[in-house]
Formats: sequence, structure tokens, C-alpha cells
Amino acid sequence: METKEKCREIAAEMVRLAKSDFEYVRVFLTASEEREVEVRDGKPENSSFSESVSMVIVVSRDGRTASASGSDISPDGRKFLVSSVQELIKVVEPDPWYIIPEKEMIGSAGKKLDPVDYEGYESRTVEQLLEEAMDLEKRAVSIDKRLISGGATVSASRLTGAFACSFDFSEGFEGTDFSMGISLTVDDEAGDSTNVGRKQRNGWSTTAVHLHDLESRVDVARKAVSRTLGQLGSRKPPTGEFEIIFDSTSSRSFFAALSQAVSGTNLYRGESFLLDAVGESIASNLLSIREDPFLPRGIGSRLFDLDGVRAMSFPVVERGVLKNYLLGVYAAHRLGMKPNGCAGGSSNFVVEPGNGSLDDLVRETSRGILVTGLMGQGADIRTGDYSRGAEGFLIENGEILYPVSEFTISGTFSEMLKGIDRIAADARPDFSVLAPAVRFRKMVVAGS
Amino acid sequence: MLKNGIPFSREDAARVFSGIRKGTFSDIFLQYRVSTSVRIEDGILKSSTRSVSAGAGIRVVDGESTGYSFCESFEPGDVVRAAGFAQAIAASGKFGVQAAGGRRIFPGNYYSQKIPLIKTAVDERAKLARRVLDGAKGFSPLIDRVTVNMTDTEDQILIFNSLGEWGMDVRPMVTLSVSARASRGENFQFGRSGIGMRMGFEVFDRVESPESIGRKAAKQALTMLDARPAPAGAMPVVLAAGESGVLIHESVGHPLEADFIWKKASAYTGRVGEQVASPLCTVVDDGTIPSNRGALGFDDELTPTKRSVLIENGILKGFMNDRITAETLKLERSGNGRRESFQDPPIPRMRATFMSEGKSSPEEIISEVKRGVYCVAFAGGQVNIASGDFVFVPSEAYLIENGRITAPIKNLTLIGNGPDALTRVDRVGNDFKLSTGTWICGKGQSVPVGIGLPTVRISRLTVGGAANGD
Repeated sequence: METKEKCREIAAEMVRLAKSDFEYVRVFLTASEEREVEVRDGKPENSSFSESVSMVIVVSRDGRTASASGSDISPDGRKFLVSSVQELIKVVEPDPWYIIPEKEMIGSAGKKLDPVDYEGYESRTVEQLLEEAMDLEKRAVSIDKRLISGGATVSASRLTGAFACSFDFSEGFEGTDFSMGISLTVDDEAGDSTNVGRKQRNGWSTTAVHLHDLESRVDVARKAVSRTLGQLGSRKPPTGEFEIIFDSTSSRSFFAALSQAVSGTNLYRGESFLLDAVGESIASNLLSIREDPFLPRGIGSRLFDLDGVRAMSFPVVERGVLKNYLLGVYAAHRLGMKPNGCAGGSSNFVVEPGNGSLDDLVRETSRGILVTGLMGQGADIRTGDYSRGAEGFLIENGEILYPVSEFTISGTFSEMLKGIDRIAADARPDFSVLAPAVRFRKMVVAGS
Repeated sequence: MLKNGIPFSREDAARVFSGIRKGTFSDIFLQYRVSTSVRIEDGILKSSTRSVSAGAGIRVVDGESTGYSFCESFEPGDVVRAAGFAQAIAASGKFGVQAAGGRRIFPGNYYSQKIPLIKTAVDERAKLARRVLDGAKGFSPLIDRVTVNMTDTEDQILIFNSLGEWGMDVRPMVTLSVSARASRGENFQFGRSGIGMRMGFEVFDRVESPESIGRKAAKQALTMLDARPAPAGAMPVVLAAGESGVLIHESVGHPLEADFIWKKASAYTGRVGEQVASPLCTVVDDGTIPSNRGALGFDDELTPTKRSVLIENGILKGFMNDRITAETLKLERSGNGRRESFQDPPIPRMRATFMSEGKSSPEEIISEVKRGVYCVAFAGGQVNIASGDFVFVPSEAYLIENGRITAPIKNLTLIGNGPDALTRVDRVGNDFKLSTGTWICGKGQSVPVGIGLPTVRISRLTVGGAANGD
């Protein structure tokens, strides 16, 4: 695999090759290597070990833009990409909003991200991965004899890459990524007569930039088992209004959608419910969110964005008030704002923790549903409508009564954001959206 | 660009196989994919992109274990190296190569390109995309934003396996999607439409004109301007012909993929021969429908595709399998082994999955409903394989009141349980229709699929809207 420095050289060379034909050229190159094994029932089932490369070139001239991408980074491959953009740019029309970034913005933020654990990576031989996957699976299925393994997966990958542009700027980056998880199935004898063959399947996984930051195999096994067995005998809740708690997994998907709604590309296209909302109160004053590209060992941490603009940390929501959108160069220009290093979206979208645990939230809920899983595409950030399938647990007077499934929760993003009345402090660092469990005051549940 | 096909010979394949010491089966999947995209936004042709993806994936199977690796080149030396990684987990097995002689597998003739994709100039694409824009804009002055994306892809495929079989195929695909926004005051609504078929650019003459695709998106956006919040609770649901095939894809399609059966994760495990749906339901997965998005001359393991009956008159007949699951579960191979690209091993996937036609007229089906929901277009769906719970998300739906379709409704998700919902199918229409939409199925890997359905009624399904007590 190419080193970070080699990637930088190739990207810079590519810019030199195309530079004279265009006003502005930028190149983004990534090279990755991945090792993954999956075991099931004590036997290796899948392994993969691969390297790949991808290079994208974006060129512009007279307000016209074209791009090409490919995996062939040999001199011939590079020439082909350049000849492709030369052909494509002829049919593109000038875009009156096109803008070349200001040279001063381009660069790399001077921060330490601690993005690689090469020692950990080198220790991940196929034999080691297999041994750990087998061990994880054994630990999980031995907890309860009804459990069937759906497969335990352990993987490691590393990435290098570089950005280069016409301002004679080029910079590399690198990272490692480790993960481990298991899925489990159990026969579910409950359920009504027409629902034959029902099973419950669930699991747990952990991801980290440094090997030793992964959750332990004991914890992963325990959580996977508890999530799988917890849903046994689930039934539909009654239709009506409930307090709704999202555990950190469900909360993450909600806030990931919110990060899309504040991203410049969706905004300038008019495809967000948060158009022209900077400075407005969009959420409960309990809610604060910041964009933080500099979290050490953060999954989404970076020093510059896809435009090569220096990364920066800033508030997105402060005590319920929308402070900033996430902007790349083009979207910022369209919206009459300044780019803030978010071409391609958020780096780490960090919801400020409240206090207490998920259990505390449940204890403080009189009649509600704890949502532990969500399904479907019903979170529409364009209109702000929200309606999704869900599963979880019915709560009464601070106690979990029974597991529930096959129901939907509905409302709008705005009502949900304003209705947040409790935030826990249990966000997981395993993802680039760091979201703790939250409670929404009231949502419509459709069940039986 | 490749002029004379993928430069990899049977001798090259034999060399790769001769280096494999362990395992019982191996195959090499070589792919050269060229995609060209154009995008219209703000009324101008704003960007154009070309992407080339080329490489070879190699798999070494040892009983139930699979080792996989790939390289992004066609150099035999690189493929040999990848083969070394792929056999790393193979424990034993005596590897047998039968490359001598060789048997060529010819793909079924289910698609072609009358107007070839690769040879068409980029500005022809621009003209087609602009006609979509004209169709949408011209429909109503309330349409204030239109985005058109068109991508055409030609996939050259070359496969060799250690049984001495080999074959090549060229798979075209045109995918066009349009999003239109309608505005009235502070009320914005969106409509979407598109077309996705295995054809050349003649698709726009033969299947649907660009203007018509644009108008459809505009019409949907305008309809939704007047939509009111959907009701919440259990009620009858009528699914319009065509796109509602999402129901079949999610509720029974995924749970009948043989890998879930093998892992005993599917609610249909061990139930062949049982009544699993209403006797009105016959469900088919077919890889041979001409020009369909899910058509394949052979699958990604050289297995010829066919029409596979999954459920017949409500009785479970079989599963969709790939080579490994067919062997392990002792099933006849169905030709459902598919992969997203050379970077991925094949797994059981759907092709074009649909419910066959029934006898009722659509008007009659609707007229019998006192209060329910009528769904026309869909944003997508999802299923929990194990419990059978599935959702599907309408993007265009209406209330049915006293046997008549009345107001459009918005913001709803339908949720049901596959084995349960299919027993509640109480009317199947005589108006079967395949969707021509841009359906992509994601199961770790993304592949294009086809869906279809006649008008179908489910006597009771949970409708998740926000209008409680409505």
C-alpha cells in the first residue's frame, strides 16, 4: 500500500499534469487496506484481505466543473482521468455561483489527532483475528443455550491519502480502524398464531481508531446477548401518545439526520427543514451540539475537508439556538456565508452530554417507550417529517413492563427537537456522531 | 478504455488456479465498469463525472469457509498474489483444477444496447437530462426546483472457475432520477420519479420519454402540497400496481434468501411446503425478464438465471441461493449469487421479485374499503429478517373513505410482520405491473433489483401517521 508521503506526491503530480488546462484543479487520493474475518459455529466462514486505491480529480474553467475518478493511479491511468475531464467539461454549462476557494483557507489545521495505531494494526494477523472472533462467539453463545450465532466479525483497516490543489498545496493523511462485533439469533416462541417462525436477531459491535480502545470481548458478548434476549416475547404497544426515549444507538441515527439537515449542500438545494434558521431557536434549550474535527482518536477527526479547507471546531446548536451550518466552499458561497471546513459534511458531530444513564431516564419516565431499534426511510429532512418503524420496551412508572415491536413513531423533527426534555451522558465514541440517550416529551405511536 | 475486452486469458486463469494449494473451489471475477453521470441543478447542466472501476476478485472456498481478496488490476501476477491472501483461511481440502478443455457458459440474451452507452457523446446525455427538466418545469409554475441525475454504466464481466467453466457478459444500465420541489407559501413538498433499466439510451424511446418522467415527479410534488397528516392505527391498506412491489421485496424477499435460511436466522427456516401466505399469493423471483433492472444473463458465479417460484398459492416452494448455500442446503441452484463489484464476494440476492396477477379488478378492490389507505409510490423499505417485521415508506398515498380515494396523506410508515401480513392479503388485482424505477437493494452490498405487483389489498396493517385519534 502507498505511504502517506507517496500519496501526497502522486496527488501533487496529478495536479501538475492537469494544471495548465484549467483554472483550478483539486485531487483527492485514498489508499486503504482491510483485513476481516467472520466465524460462525466455531468455524471460519469468511475472510477478506484487500488493498484498494481511489483517486478523484475535479477541474474547473470559466465556471464549469467536471470530475473523474478511478483506481488506476499509474501514469497511464492518470492521463486517462485527465483526458476524461477534458472531454466532460465541454458539455457542462457555466455555473454563476462557481467560486475558487480563497488561498488563505486552504491548509491543514495544526492539531494532533493521534489517528493511527500501526502497532495494533501489525498485530492483526489472520490467525489473531480468527482466534478473537472464535473467542467472542464462544463467550456470547455460552451465556444462554438458546442462542444461535449469526457470525462474529473482527476486522482491521488502515487508510492513507492526500489532497492537492492548484495553489501548490498538498498534504497527506492517515488512519487506522479496528472493529469487532457479533450477531445472535434466538427462536421466539411467543407471538400470535399467524406469526409462525418468529425469531429475534440482534447484536453488538465496537469500533475504534486505536486497538486498545475497543470494548472488551466480554462486554461485546454480554451486550449482544442482552439485546437479543431482551426482545423475546415482544408485542405491539397500544396506539396513542407516549414519552419516547431513544437509546444512544437510536439517538445517533436521529442526530446523524440532523447533521444532514444543517449541511450546506442540502440547504442550498432547498432540501432541508432548517432553511434560513441560523439564529433561531430550533430545539429545547437543553440541547447543544458542536462540530469537532479535533477529537483525539475520533472516528471522523480530520485536519482539512474535501475542498482542502482547514478544519475548525465551532458550535452548531447552543442551548437550542442554531448557530452555524456545516459549509463547504460552494455551499457557503450559495448561502452568502463563510466556509467552515465541512465540504462532504460533518467530521465529528458531538451532542453535549447531559447527565445520568439510560436507566435513569427510564426511571424518570411515567408512561413511555424506550426505543432500541429503528427501521425505514421515514426520516425526511427535506420536509422535516418523521415516521419510522421501531422496537423497544414499554415503560410504566419508571419500570420496564415488556418488550414491544411492530409499531411506528411519528412526529416532525421540529416537534422532536423542541420536545427534548432529558439528555443522558452515555454517548459512545465508536462513531462520528456522538449522541447520548435522549427523551422526547411526546410522540404518536401506532401499534395495535 | 478497453478496446478488446478484459485482457485476461484462460491460460492466465490456469496459472492462478495452479498456485492454489488448499480449498475445494475457486473462482476469479474480473470486471471493467465505466460510468458516466450528468447532473442538472438550478436549470443548468452543472456537473459531469466519469468513473472507471477495474479489477479482479478471487475467492477460495473450503467447504463452508470462504476466503476473498481482490486486486485493482488485470495483471496475472497481481491476481496470483490476491489468490494467496484468499486461501489463507482454507484449512484443508484437496484443490482440484479442471481448466483443461474448459467449458464456456453463454449468458442468456435478456438485454442489449440499440443505442450503445459508451459510444454516445456526453452532450447527447445532456440533451436527454434537459428534456426531463423541461417536463417537470413545464408541468406547473409551482415547481421551483428540479434536480436531474442520470448515470449510465457498462459492466464488462469475465469469470473463470476451478471447474473449468468460464464466461463473459456485458451488462448495461441506465439510471435516471429526478426530484422536483413544489412551493406554495411556506409549504414545500417533493416529488420523485425515475427510470432504471438494463438497456442503451433507447430506453427513452421505448419505455418512457424523459418529459414524462419529469412530469411524474412534478405531479407527485403538487399532489403532496395538499396532503394532510396520515392517520395512526391498524386498517386496510390497498397497494397500487407496480412500485408497491417493495412490499414483496421486504416482507418475503429477504427472508427467503438462502444465507438467512442457512444461518437459521429467517422466520421461514424449515418451512418449505407449509402455507405461509394467503392462497391468493404467488411470489416469483426472475432473472430473465428482458431489460429489467434485475435481469442477468448468468449470475456472478456463472449460474444461468431463471424464473424461480418462491411461494405458490400461499405454499412456500423454495429459496434464492448462491453456489455455497445451494450446496450446503442441498438445493437446486437458482442463479441468485450476486455481488456489488469485484471487491465483494457473491451472496444470495434478489433479481426481479414480484407477486403474480390475481382476478379482482382494482376498482372493485378499492370500492370495498370503508376506511383505509391507498399507496401509490414508495421511498423504500426495510425488514428485520428474524422477526419478520418490515416497514415500507410511501412517498405518495391517499385516504380511502367509503370506497373512494379521497385526500392525499403524508408522513407515514407502514409496519407489518411478513408471515402475518401475507396471510392477510384478501384481494389480488388483475393489473400486474413491473416497476421501471431505480431500485437499489442494500444488504452490505448494493445491487440493482426489479420489483412488481398487481393491485393488492391487505385486510389489516399498522399505518404509522402522526394524526392520532383522527
